Amino acid sequence: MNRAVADGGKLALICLVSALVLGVAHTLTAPTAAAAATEGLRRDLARMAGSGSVDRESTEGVSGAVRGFHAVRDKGGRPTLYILRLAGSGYGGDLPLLAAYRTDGEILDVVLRDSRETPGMGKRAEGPGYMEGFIGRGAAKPVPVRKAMLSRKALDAVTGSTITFIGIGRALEEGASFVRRQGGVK
Amino acid sequence: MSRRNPVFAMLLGLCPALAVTTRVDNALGLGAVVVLVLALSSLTVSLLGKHVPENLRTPAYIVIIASYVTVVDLFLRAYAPGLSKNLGIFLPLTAVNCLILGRVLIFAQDNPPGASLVDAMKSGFSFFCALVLIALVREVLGAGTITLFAVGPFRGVLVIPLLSENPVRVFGLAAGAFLVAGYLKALYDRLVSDEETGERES
Amino acid sequence: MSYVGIIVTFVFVQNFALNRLLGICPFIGVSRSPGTSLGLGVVITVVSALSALAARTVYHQALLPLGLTYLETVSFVLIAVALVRLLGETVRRASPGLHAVFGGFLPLVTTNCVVLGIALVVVRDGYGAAESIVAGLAAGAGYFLALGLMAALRDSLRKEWVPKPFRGVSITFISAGLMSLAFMAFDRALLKNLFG
Repeated sequence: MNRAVADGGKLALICLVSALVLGVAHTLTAPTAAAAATEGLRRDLARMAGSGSVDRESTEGVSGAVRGFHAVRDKGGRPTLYILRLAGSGYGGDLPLLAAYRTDGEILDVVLRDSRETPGMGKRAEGPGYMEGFIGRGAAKPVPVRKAMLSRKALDAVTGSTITFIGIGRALEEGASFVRRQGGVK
Repeated sequence: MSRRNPVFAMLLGLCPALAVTTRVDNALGLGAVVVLVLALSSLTVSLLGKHVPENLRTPAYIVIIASYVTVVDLFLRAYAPGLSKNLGIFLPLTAVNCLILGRVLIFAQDNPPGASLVDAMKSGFSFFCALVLIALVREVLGAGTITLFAVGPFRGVLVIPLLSENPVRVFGLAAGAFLVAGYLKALYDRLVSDEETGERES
Repeated sequence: MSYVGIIVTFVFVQNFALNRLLGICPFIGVSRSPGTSLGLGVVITVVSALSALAARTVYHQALLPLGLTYLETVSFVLIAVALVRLLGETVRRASPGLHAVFGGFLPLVTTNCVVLGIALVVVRDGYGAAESIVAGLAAGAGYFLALGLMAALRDSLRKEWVPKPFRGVSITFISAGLMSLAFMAFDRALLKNLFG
């Protein structure tokens, strides 16, 4: 019995030391990691906004896949485009997206942010060309939510990740109608 | 490529060897992580030596390995967020990499720190080479590119002219990983068996 | 995602062995005989369901509120070790016969990528308690399916002529690759009809 307690104690000691070491490592790296995360978001926002000025994120009236939005205004303060934070549903869990829309709902740019899907299938969504099938859609042309709605070339780029593609498409479509509603109100 | 390559001869650490080898930079990154964690864990286990009770060895060693993996993970998240994102769950999964646990259980616990470190470096390096080789084949055929790290004016991606326009996409998928591993294993067996028969004849 | 969606995803589309490339060492090494595959498959299914639930509970009840999320990997590994020991003891007491059949596979499972992998996946993708169990069972069942298919395939391969350098492991890898290609059909066809 004493033996078991001593053994358990040794294992507990190892765990304790490990937890302490990790705590120190966490304290050392946490600020830099947080900065790296916001820096990435800031860079994406700046690239999408171009010369316009970006408002702070608002969550007014958001629902469903739309999680928040930034209005981008020109010098006169008129909104020229909207950058939406969207959550599509992927193979499991959310696919966080950042998408820029013209005020009529046309998609200008899409990036997948911080996807935790396993490298392999879902990851292809981060590769170049993947999002091309969505650009320019949303206003006159509908957002593709089915592979049949894509051109042959765009189809090749998304093959092997149907659910990711459908998840992104549906989220983007919701985003487009959200943007059109915004345009109507303001 | 040593004769006792962990991936091709002993079939250890196959999950990361197949999963993260879609791009060369990911393979280089994970390979380096494995070498580092293997070296540190071997050293620690070798120093702890006889203090760990027999029946608690596996859990104790896994905790030690997992701690080093988490430390590396935390630092990568802070200083190389892109790489950390690409490796996804395969970074924490290094904690149960059978190559690391195997070397620690078979070698490090009964040997002095110096020898353990040398052994860890050797196994780690051959694992690293295997990973990079698989990734090279897969990325060149599957995407027509070789992705390295961006340094100064170099953007980090070498594009291979004809292949990049018409890549054989299947090599980038899970199926391609198995196929490449199969052919490389056959090549490896061929080369090693030739070497052995050669030795016997001489 | 609905339960049906989770099951289809984890068993077929994102099969742990054939698509997510987890647990490959035993998949290539153990699938040599049907009996071993059966034993390992059953044990992995049970342990991954329990580990998914336990990991999710520990993460959301303890690590997240206490701000200790960086202990994720270490605690999940410990959970797997503890679960395997506990399960071994319980089965040995309750049914020695069952223990004689499956007990030998338990130590193999402690360091299996599938068990830690499913724990990480359910936590990172934010699954609920019931969803975690279903995902764990489905992931294990998918892995079991792949192991079983591979064992059957290797059995028939024994009767075929294979070029010498490809014999053994190489042909197993290549068969696995073809099987993985076949499983991709689930992604294109089945899900297109289900969700499209």
